[in-house]
Amino acid sequence: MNFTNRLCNPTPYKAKLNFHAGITITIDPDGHKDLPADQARDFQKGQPGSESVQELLAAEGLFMLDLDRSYEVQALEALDKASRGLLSRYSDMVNRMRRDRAAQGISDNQEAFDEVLAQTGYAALKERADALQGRAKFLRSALDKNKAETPVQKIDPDRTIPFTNPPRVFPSPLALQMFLSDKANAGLKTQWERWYKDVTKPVAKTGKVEADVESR
Amino acid sequence: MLKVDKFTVNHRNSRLTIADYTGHSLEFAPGEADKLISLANTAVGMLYLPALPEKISDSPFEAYFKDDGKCTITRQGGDGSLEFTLSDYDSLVRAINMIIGNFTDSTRLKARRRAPGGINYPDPVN
Repeated sequence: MNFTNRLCNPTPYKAKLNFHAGITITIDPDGHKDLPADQARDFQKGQPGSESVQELLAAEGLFMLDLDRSYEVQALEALDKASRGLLSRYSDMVNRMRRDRAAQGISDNQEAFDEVLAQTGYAALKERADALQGRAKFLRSALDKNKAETPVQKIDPDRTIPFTNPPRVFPSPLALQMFLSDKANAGLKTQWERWYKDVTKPVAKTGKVEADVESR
Repeated sequence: MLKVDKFTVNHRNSRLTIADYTGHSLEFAPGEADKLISLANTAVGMLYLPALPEKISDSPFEAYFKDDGKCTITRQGGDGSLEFTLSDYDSLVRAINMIIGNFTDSTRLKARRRAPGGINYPDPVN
């Protein structure tokens, strides 16, 4: 997970979030908004009270961009969640209304029923859910074709030590060397040097994995 | 139970399970999902290297590299394993995210059902 401060809106509708004290975050259809750090923190997963925020984002079809995963996959998930939520509300309302009308002895008239749905705003809800589902369908078919959803970040052996728990990737090769130069890390240094020698040794490209990597 | 390409995911009693195409499965808590994805991501990022360490660890999981380009994630000192290749990584991440999403949805729904007044949806969008 490598979340950025970019809040994306893959839906064809303008999203408005009431952030705090009259501040409204508006995101254009098919657009994004780069949030300031203090706002972005509130929208990230794992923050105290973030469940309701995540629920709000899911209802609007928004998501915070994660650099470890492609935009399309995240957009698909957001569209699926939003359309599922809208459809669930719509079907609950329709069922409840049918039940109430039956209980009141109102005869089953589809035109009248549609008119009531339009007046209560639930027809617009259904239209919106259908539009989101259409977009999700488009993305899903495109993703199934190319199968390249998630970019894999290759590990740079010059600044990575895989023997620690968890493996550590340093900001620069010099930072790794500084870490290894500590007396306490002498054992790790020996392990890393042995591994680095094997990694940098030139080898013929015959492995299945290499072919797989190059094909991506 | 959900099937995402070669993986099958399930959740029961706050424990999530992911099974691979060989029939092996790994159980994890919802809070461990990020570590599982992170370890898989690091393992996949290393698979292109000509020399691989025997294993990499990110407690409570360990990833072992095999000669045939496959990687197996196990729980440290526990049972269960999960095998995947570089080309399975996308499906693996999607499967984990999907079961996390389903688990979260179901727990929220249960909480709402238990709440006084039951489910109370907000006004429709006009």
